[in-house]
Amino acid sequence: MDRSRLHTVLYVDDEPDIREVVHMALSLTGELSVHTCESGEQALAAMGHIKPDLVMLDVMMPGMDGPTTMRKMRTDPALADIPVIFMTAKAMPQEITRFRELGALGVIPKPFDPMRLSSQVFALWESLAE
Amino acid sequence: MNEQEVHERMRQLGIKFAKRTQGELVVMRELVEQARQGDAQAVRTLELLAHKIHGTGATFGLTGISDAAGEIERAVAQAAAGALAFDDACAKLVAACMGRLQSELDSFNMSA
Repeated sequence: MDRSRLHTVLYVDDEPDIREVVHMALSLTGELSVHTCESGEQALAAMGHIKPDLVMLDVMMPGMDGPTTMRKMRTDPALADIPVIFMTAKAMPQEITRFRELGALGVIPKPFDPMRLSSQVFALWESLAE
Repeated sequence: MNEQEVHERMRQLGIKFAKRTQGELVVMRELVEQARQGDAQAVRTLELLAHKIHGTGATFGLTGISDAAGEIERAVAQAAAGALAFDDACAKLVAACMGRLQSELDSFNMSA
């Protein structure tokens, strides 16, 4: 996958401080336009106008959690093809397998290093081409 | 923004997070009481709050706070999944874990 084709990222997390850290971390390289939402419901409503190339979802959120948000995306033809990365503090092997079976591009464990987050995201994005 | 500025912003956010967590401990104590009375939603909310503190604390490098919240999350996990009742023993264990979380917050506030 052409790295330059990853331009717009939507990050979804109910935790405001983590949203700020992820926004800051992904903006460091100057290559990405980063948007954030605080819930799965808000993200689904916003995707139509943000048109993200990639969606990053926290797994455990009140209301609509990350996996449910992804399942909803997959039932909407306009959103079905957008790659999804999960971020979770419960990155156990069986959970990672479950997320991959759902069709996720990958999983980034929490805690993450803000200085390395962009490279982790680009590495997963580039794995789309493999 | 350079690396030093990122670390400084992370430090500031960590302080803000610790202050918010102090308020969330009050909420968690109320949730424990509701859980003891059989409120299943209160147990799930308690698990979610503990999970958030665990994950966010770790992101800010606040290991003691994160670990204490992780203990609460583990203590309520089976009750939140419906596998066990949230009984007095569970409430006592959670209260002990919350005591550790309070101690970690106190230590952090003294050093911040």
